[in-house]
Amino acid sequence: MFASARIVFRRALKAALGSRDQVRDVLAVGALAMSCACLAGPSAGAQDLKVYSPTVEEGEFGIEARGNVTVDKNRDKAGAQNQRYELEYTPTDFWHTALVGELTKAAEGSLKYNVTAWENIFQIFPQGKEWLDLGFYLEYESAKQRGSADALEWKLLVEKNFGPLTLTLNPIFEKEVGRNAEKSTEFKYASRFKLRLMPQVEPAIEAYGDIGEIGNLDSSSAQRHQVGPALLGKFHLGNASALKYEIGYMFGLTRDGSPDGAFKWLIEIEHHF
Amino acid sequence: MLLGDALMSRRTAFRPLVLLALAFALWASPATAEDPSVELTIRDHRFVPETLEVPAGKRVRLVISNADPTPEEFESYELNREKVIPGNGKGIVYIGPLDPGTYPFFGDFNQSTAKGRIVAK
Repeated sequence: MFASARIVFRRALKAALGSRDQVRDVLAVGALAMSCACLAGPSAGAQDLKVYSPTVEEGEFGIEARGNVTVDKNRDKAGAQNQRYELEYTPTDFWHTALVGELTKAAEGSLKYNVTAWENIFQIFPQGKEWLDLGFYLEYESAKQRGSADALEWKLLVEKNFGPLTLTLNPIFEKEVGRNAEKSTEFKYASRFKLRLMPQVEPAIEAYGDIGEIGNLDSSSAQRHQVGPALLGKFHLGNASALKYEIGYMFGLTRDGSPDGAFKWLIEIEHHF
Repeated sequence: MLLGDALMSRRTAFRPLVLLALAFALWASPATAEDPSVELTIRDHRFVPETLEVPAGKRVRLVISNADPTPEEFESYELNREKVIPGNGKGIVYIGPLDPGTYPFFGDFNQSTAKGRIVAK
């Protein structure tokens, strides 16, 4: 049965992409995504749900707001929120930087200002120069709640185009630093398969996970894995300005570690100088 | 003790970073043949030339110069590329390898005038 499904999947991919080389590339990058997921801990509350592209745009200034809220039959997992507000600028053709404020809410708690962060993205190659587009994300998070530790988060940003399809993978490593820091490093992932249909509407499938501490993984049911549909798009406002949006609903894949679902949203106003 | 050993023994958080950096260095180090390069200029919110011929089956380096004081976004759904070129600035976009055919592109900030196409032969 698995073999039949694999053949059907391959044929569907070939029909969508048109060439055996492109099917091979999709499967190769998909295998990379699955291997990241299989490395993958328990996670309480809502997590940041965003996929980052390695491509940055020189001269871009932006204001972004995004968040997600969990949905679950159990009250102790429903209504958790994560909100992030960013002030962004891209001074060069390879460096994007942003000042971030993050608010979180536990399922039965109140919304609290949790973190101030400094985010940086470094594009490694010009887009399309290599077989994969690569970038590097580095963020320092300054904790604002008593007893919490600061953290250093870094992500590898991987992107590959297959005709009208774009696959983006973000393996994520997070290490607490300074006072109250735990010694372990956490591994998470974010990924997206997007169809470039039209600028205003781009359907996508996204997946997110929190695999827990590297070297001390929890049971698979306690890990967080979420997958679901999303819509992305961009509307031009004139004068080199645009409004970007993302909405999506992520279904939980594990019994204990994931909420039944999470509704996510993003809105950004950007201007190019 | 090598630098990598020292980093790995002292800071396990940086172990993945070191391994990725080594892998990247190995991947990026071999010299590759130069990709053919073509030039495109944005002037008065138009692309010059409007039609660019490029070799099919090869990756091509597209150098886009913006002679206007305002930014322009090179965009092509057929090529799956978008790149903002700052005013009086320059940008590089790699396209292909392309099958023979015509691939339209446009300037996202001036869609009524900034139009062009790439013909792969």
